[in-house]
Amino acid sequence: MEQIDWLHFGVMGVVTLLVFGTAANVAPIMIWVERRGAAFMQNRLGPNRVGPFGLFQSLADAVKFLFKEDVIPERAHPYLFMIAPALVVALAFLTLAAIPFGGEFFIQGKQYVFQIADIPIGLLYVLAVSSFAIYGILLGGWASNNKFALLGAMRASAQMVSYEIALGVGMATMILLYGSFDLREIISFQSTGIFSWGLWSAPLTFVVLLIAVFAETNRLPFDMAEGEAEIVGFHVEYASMKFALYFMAEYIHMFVGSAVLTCLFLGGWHLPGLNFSSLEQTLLGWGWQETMANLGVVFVQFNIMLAKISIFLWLFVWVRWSFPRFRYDHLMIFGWKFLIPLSLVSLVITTVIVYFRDVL
Amino acid sequence: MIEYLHIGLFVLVAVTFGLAVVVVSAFLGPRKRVKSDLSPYECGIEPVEKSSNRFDVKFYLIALIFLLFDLEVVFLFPWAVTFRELSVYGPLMMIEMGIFLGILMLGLFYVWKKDLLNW
Repeated sequence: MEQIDWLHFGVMGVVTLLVFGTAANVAPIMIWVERRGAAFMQNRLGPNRVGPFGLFQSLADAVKFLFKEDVIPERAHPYLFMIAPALVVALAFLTLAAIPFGGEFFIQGKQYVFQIADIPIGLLYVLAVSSFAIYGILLGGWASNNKFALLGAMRASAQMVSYEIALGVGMATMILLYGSFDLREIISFQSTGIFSWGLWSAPLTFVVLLIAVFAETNRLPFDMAEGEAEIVGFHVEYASMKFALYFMAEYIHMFVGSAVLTCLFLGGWHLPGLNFSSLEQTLLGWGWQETMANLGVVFVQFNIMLAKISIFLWLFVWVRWSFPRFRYDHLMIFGWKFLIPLSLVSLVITTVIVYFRDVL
Repeated sequence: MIEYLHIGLFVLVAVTFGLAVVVVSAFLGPRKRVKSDLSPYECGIEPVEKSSNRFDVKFYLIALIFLLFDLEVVFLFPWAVTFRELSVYGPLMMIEMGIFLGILMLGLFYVWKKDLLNW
């Protein structure tokens, strides 16, 4: 029996807590951004009473959600009905595990990375776990034992399933381009300036993946799962915190989707003109300890990553208030007859490029 | 291998969080159960028929087609990751995947012409 390395688990616990905390706070912050952004685009004020600029509105909402009556409809399957939202939010958090938020650092000569689990099949893991989200939605709709909820769940899952093919082919294209599943390695390929970013190598795949991520997260213009003003979604029967969990899961999925797009196309935590080893030298020059300088660099990387992710998150809000919703048949036709052929075409183009550029 | 232990521990964290929130809100909320509160959403009338009624066969077809295509996408991953290494022996990797994608496209075209993708 090996000695248990408590320092290792301590460090990884802190990393996990940081990533988990960031993701958990994305939902309230994004709800505020979304509502204020909507108000800004529609020339009105938006929530501005609770705290400065209404910043604590989401906090107040969360407290209110917690103290609302927890209704379980008499026809529902009570245990499945309870488990479904917990499952949805747990799976949403789980996708975070393989996403790198910063580079390596050393504590007492041992190397750690700013990532919950540095697995070599990171991209595959994200794809696999994120496709589990369908189970939560289907379970929620089915456990409600309500016609509208069941239909809503069928609609949502058919949509997510359809766009998952385009997502998978798009991911395969990026894997082909980098020759690796490892998100850390993929980011390191994009470290040499802005033109090494994936965005320039595969712009068509970027478009495909962006649209697919919008559809997978059930965001407008693809929000057939919810469509709060017009159609009944799979969570009609859900109230109080259970409803809030579905909401939270949607925002965490947005966060994870944005993070994956950042890793694949925007070079992760790399900024053009910022050299991390010289930054560390500068910090050492200021008299910082070696470990502290190392952690400082990782902190900078984490913030760059978050800044790039928030660009995508803002794009989600921007698109939501700029485009009307698809009609359901249009949505399915768009997915199957346009996006999937487009993703295959981009795969073929990328294959030819990789072959003639790198192999020959 | 320790990285997979991290995932295992994180599963515990995530599941605990989800269940804890559900349970806590169940205890914190008021309980003034009225009969009409608990009735299923059915536009205000008593529900007729079972909820697990028949639904459009389209959903089933989409699920079937998805299964086929997703399986083929899974075959793309190992090919994509080894493409560069194995292509040094010649263009066979590219030609093979060309045939594979050709069959895939043929399948899509067939489904398309059979009018299964229209709603």
